[in-house]
Amino acid sequence: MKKSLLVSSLSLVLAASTVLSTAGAASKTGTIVIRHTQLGEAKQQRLNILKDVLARVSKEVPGVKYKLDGVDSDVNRKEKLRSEMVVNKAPAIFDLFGGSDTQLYVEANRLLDLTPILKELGLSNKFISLNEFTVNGKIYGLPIGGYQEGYFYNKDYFKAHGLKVPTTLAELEKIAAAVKKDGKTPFAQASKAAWVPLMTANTLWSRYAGPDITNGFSTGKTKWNSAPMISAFTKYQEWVKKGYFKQGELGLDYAEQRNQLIRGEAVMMYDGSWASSVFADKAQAGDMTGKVGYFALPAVAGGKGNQTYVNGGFSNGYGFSAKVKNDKKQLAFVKSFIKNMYNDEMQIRGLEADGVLPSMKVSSTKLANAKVTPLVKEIIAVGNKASGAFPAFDSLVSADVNTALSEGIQKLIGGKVTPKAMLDAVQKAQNIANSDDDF
Amino acid sequence: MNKTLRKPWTYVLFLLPLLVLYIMFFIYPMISAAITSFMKWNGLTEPKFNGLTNYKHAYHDAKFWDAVLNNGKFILFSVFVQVPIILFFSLLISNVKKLKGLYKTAVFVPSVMSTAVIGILWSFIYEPDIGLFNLALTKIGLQPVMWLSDSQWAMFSILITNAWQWTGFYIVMVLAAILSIPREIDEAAIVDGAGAFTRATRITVPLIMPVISVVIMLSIAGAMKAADIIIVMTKGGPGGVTDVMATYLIKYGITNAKYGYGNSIGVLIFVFSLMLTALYQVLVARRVERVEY
Repeated sequence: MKKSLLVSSLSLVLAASTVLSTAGAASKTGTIVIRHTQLGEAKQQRLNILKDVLARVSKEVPGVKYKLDGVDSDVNRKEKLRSEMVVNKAPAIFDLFGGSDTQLYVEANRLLDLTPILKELGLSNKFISLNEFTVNGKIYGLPIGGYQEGYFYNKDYFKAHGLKVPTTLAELEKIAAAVKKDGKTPFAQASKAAWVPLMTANTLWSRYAGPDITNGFSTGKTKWNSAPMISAFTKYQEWVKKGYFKQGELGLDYAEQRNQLIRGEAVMMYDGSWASSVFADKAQAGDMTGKVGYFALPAVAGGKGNQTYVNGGFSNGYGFSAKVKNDKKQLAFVKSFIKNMYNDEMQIRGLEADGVLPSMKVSSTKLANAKVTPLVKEIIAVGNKASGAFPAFDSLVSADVNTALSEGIQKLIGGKVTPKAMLDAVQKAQNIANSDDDF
Repeated sequence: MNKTLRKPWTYVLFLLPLLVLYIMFFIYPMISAAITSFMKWNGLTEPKFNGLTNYKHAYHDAKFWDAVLNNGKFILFSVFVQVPIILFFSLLISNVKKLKGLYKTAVFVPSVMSTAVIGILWSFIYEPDIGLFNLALTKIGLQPVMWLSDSQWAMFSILITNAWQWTGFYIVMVLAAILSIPREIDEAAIVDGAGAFTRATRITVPLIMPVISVVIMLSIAGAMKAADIIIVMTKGGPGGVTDVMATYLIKYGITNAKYGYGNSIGVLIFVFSLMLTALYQVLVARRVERVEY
């Protein structure tokens, strides 16, 4: 073979492959990726809503292809999205948490400023609260719904054993003791992911130390290892020691928590309002369908601050890549997505189909006419009765403090650490996060 | 054509694509990781030089050393428990007359399954109430063990699962080496009156030492980069007791948005792996003579 022929043919192959790969990359930019976390049976209704919204968006903005990318919520929040943000390759539309996550991404200019879009669409004053997604007066994310945390309980069991919804922590403990004596698990729990047991702990410490205490950790105004905080975690450990949670629950996935309640093995379960749809679905809840009630974690005698506050807020929703503003078609797609996703119809649909509390100011008539399950009505009633709400701790503390707390609660459940030692370690992580010595 | 291949630039032309890929995906990330390991960087904003702070933090963090220790457990378990089992089963299967193919396939199957599937599968086996192990334990009157949630058992449970996944792969490797030994050597030993145990320990094992050495080396490499099985089964829990260096890196580097610190851990994993490999080469691998029949 002639030398010149070999060189020219090789060059041709190289050039052709370069051109083809560039063309491939160019065609990819036309596809919008929508990262969602609606995976599994329990979130099927929410996925259906998302798909319907996208079908409408496709009609309004023709020519833009989209691709759904489903990822587990915890993995998306803590690993995947975070890595994508680092290399500035986040999808155009993605599941986003408010608070510290949003703040971190805004500092790096990764999120699209939604303030002008909301104004244009007439949605500026339509949301109940955008606090968790607001940084320096600008809005960077939109909550898909509201949530509230409390105890789901087996109504039949309560009735059969003459138990009443507790109004004080002492009453709750009396019920737990009676349930334990009866050979059942008082509180369903599955703590492989630490945020699950931290839901109970978060409200418990807000009862003991006041609903505002979490706000002060990152400013140094309040301390993790203060006396009321230690009391809250001592109470938590007391429950563990008394066997109020299933043995071996540290190795179980979150979904197993509700199964403990559904199987009748456990009688109460502390969870978010998002779990309510499971108990309305015969395929998931079986005989427990429609037999589950709800109450707030009751007041602690001698606890600080208002004892009726509930853990609730509007922290999870959708965020959009800042890169979208450079592409007219993508921007049109995002606007249409917001218009079709955030309206009375979808809010009511989310409430009816899935028990997701509205994040928007839906008209009271529509809300009253919504076909919701008695359980959702109970959740709304508990929320209405509360004097206020405090957000989940993870939207208020930095990721490293969250990691220290997550490790701590698992060690506490495993009996490997005292509440004081655990909270000292968390405070140490908080001190580093608050100081300039942060690495 | 021969004349063309004698020209050095032709080689360069052929090597270029591979070289570009190697530099892009190995050399560049390595250098970039080494540089950012001396920086305070959340991955999003401008990195700031902070000297040895990241390394000092790793040095003083007991949790990091616990993770290193867990990698050590992985290595020790592989070398002193897994390798003897691999040898035992390889010898056993090599002497089977019937259904040898079936046995080979059966032991190999776990290694072609994804780690996620294996992790979930074994989570069922370790389930506290209805898991296979606890059902067996309670049947014989013993107390159930909280395999994945008890900090005393969690690491051991992962080691068993990991060994189950990879043992078959290594068995097939060792088996191939055993079967390549000329039959005459074994027959001569039988004529000399050597029993099965003597033949296995005095003839077969010494002859397959190079392959065993490779198996040990691969086990060490696998142990140093272990992460997936832990993420699926325990997420490093309970309370971080099953964290290895790689999961520690993910937790404290990516989740905590401390990419500078994460990179310093990455560099330490690289250095530790290099040291272990060098140590193994000097102490063991070089002593294994090349076998020629």
